[in-house]
Amino acid sequence: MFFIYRYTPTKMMNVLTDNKMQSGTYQITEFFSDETQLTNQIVLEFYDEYMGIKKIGLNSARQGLCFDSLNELGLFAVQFISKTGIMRCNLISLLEFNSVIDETYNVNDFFTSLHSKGTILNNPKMVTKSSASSFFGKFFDK
Amino acid sequence: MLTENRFKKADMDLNSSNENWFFYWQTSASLWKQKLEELKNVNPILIPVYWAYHSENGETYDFAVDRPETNFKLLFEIATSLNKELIFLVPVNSAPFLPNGGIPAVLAKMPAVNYEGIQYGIADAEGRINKLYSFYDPRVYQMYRKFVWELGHYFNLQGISSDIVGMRSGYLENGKFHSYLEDTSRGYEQGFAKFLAVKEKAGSLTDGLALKSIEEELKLKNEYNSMIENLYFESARENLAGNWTGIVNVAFLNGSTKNIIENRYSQDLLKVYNTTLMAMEHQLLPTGLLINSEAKKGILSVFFNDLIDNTFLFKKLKPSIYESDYIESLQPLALFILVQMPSASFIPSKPAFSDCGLIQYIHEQYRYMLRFEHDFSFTQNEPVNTNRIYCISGAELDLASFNKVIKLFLSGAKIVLDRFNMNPQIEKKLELFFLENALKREKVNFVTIVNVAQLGDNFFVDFNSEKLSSMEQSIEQKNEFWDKILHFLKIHHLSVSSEEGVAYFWKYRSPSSQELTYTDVRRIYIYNPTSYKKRVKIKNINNFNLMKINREYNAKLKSLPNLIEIELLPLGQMLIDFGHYE
Repeated sequence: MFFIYRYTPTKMMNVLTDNKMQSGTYQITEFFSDETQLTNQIVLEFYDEYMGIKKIGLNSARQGLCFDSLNELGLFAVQFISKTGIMRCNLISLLEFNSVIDETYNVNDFFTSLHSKGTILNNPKMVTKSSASSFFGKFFDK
Repeated sequence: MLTENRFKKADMDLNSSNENWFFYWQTSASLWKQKLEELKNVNPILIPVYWAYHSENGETYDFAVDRPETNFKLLFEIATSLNKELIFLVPVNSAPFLPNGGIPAVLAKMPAVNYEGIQYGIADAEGRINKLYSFYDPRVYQMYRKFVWELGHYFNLQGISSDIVGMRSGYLENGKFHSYLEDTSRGYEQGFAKFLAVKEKAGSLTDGLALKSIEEELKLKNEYNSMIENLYFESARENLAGNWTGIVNVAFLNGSTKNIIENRYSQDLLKVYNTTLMAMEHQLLPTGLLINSEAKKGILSVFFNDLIDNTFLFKKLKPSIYESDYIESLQPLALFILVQMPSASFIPSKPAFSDCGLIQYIHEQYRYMLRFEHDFSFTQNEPVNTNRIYCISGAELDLASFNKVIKLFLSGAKIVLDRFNMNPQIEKKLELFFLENALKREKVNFVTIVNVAQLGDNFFVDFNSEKLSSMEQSIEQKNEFWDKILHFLKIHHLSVSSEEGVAYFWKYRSPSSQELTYTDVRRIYIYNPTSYKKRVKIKNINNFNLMKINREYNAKLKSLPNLIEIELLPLGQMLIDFGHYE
C-alpha cells in the first residue's frame, strides 16, 4: 500500500519574500494498494473514525486527509493497514514520488521503483503472525 | 420499422487504435499511400506535427531534407489523390503522447509540475511514461518561435494548402479542463517572479512585491499564465498565418499522471465513456490516444468512431464551414447551452446555475445534452436552434452581450436568464425592452418570482436564483422547480433510464425529403461495455415515432405502449432513430 503525501506550510510562501515555513500540514494526496482494491470511501471513513470526525458527507474528501506531523500520518497508516490486513505500506513524499516519475520510463518500472521508496511501515499484526509461524517462532512459542 | 446495416463484429476493430489521427513518423513514407487507403471512410485525417522529429537540436530543421517521413508535401499530395483532407495539428503546449511532450531532447531540462505538485508523467497506450517539460522555460519559447517559423516557411514554399490548427492539449479532471501549460515548476516560479518585478517597476502593484492575499496571488498568476499562453498562440498564428484556422482544446483521456495509478489493473471503461461525453459538454475534442490499445479494442473503439465522426471533426476543426453544410448529418444533441465566462482551472469557482440545481438537473434528466459556451460567438455562425434553451447568468452580462441575448430571443431562441447579481443598468434595459415591445410577462411565484414572456414559440424566462440556491431548498424542490420551467418552455425529449454500467448519448439531424412530417430525427447510441446483461428503458414517447433500428448487436428491442425496453447482452450495442414531431 502506498500513501503519497505533501507538506503544506500553514502560511503560503510568497515566491519573492523569504518567509520561513513555521508550521504546516502533511496531507495525503494519493493512496492505493497493489494487494487489494481500495475505494476512496474505505480510507475516508477510516480517517473520519480515526480523527473523531462525525460523518458529514464527504467533507474529509474535500479538505483532504491532513495531519499535523509525519509521525501522526505514520500512526494513521499503521492503524489503517492493521485494520485492513494489508502487510506493509510506503509513506512517500511528493518529492520522492516525482523522482520515481523522473527515473522510470514505463509503467512496470514505475511500480517496481515505488516499492523501494519512502518510509516503509509494516503491519505489526502481520509481523507478529509471520514470526510466530516461522521456524523460530514455533520453537519459542512452545 | 426497418433494421439496416446489421452490425458485424469485424466492424468493431476498424480503425480501433488511432481514431482519425495519423502518426506519419511511425510509418515509412513509402507506405503512406497504402496506410491512408486503409482508412476507409475516415476524413479528415489529423496530422499532429512532432516538433522533435524535425529537429534534434532546435536549431536546424528537417522538412523533406534527410528523412522522407518529414515530407509533408508528399503526404499532402497522397491525401489529395485519395480525396482526403489533412488537418495539421501544431502543438502550442506539450503533447502527452510523445516523448518529452514532443519537444527536442535538448530542451527537455525543466520538468513541468502540476498544481498539486506532481510532475507530469503521462502513460501512453503502450505503457511508456512520457515526461512533460516546462513551456515557461525561456529557451523553449525561443526555439518554439523558430520551429513555427520554419514550418510556416516550408508550407508556403511547397504550396501546401491544408489547414493548420493549434493543438492545446490537456485533460479533464473533476469537471475542469487542465491545459498542460499549467505549471508550478522552478522555471514557472522564476518567470512569475520576473513578471511581478516588471509589474512593480511599472507601479501596477499597489503594495509592491508583498502580495496581500492568496486571491491576489492567484489573480496575478492567472494574468501571467494567460500572457505566456498567448505568446505561444501568437507565435504559431503569425508564422502559420497562411494556413492557420485557430486553436482547438484537445482533452486526452487518461491524460493525468494520476491515471498511471488508477489504471494499474484495468481501465475503468465507464469512466472513459463519461469523461469523453463530459469533454463534449465542454466543447473539447476528446481523444483516446493514450488508452491502452487492448482496452480500446472492440466496443470502446466503436463508441469513439460513433461519437467523434467525420462531421464532428470537420465542424470542430473547420469553423469556416457553415452549419447548413451539415444539415443532414448527425450531430451531437445539445438541448441546453450554458454561457459561462472562462476561469482559470486553479481558481476555485462554481459554474453558473450549479447552486440553483440546474446543472445537476440536466445531468440527471438530460444526460450530456449540455454545452458550455465561453462567449456569445455562437450567435454569429449558427442559426438559432428553437429546440434549445440558452441559459444566461445575468451577473456575466455587459451591454454588448445583453444585446446579443435580446437578438437571440428575437431570432426564436428560448432564454432562461438568472438575474442574480445582474448589473442594475442592464436590468433596467431588460425592463425597457419588454415595455417598448409591448411584450406581456406572466408572473409566477414558485419558490421565487419567475417572469415568462412569450413571442410566438419562443420564451424569455427570467428569475433571481438567490432564494432557489439557498441551503433551505432541497434537491427535490430544485428539481421540481426546473421540471416546471422546462414544461413551460415545451422542451420535448425522450426519457432514458438505464442500469449502471450502460453508456449512451444522442445525436440529431434534420429530416430528409421523405421525412418531412418530422421536425428532426434523433438517434440514441447505446453500449453495454460490461460482461453482464443490462436493461434500458425509453419513456415519454409522445411526440416521437420509432423510425428504425440502425444497429443491433447482442441486443433486443421490445416495443410496449408508451415504453421501449432494450435488453443488452455483454458488449451489446443498439442505435435507434426516432422521428420528432410537434
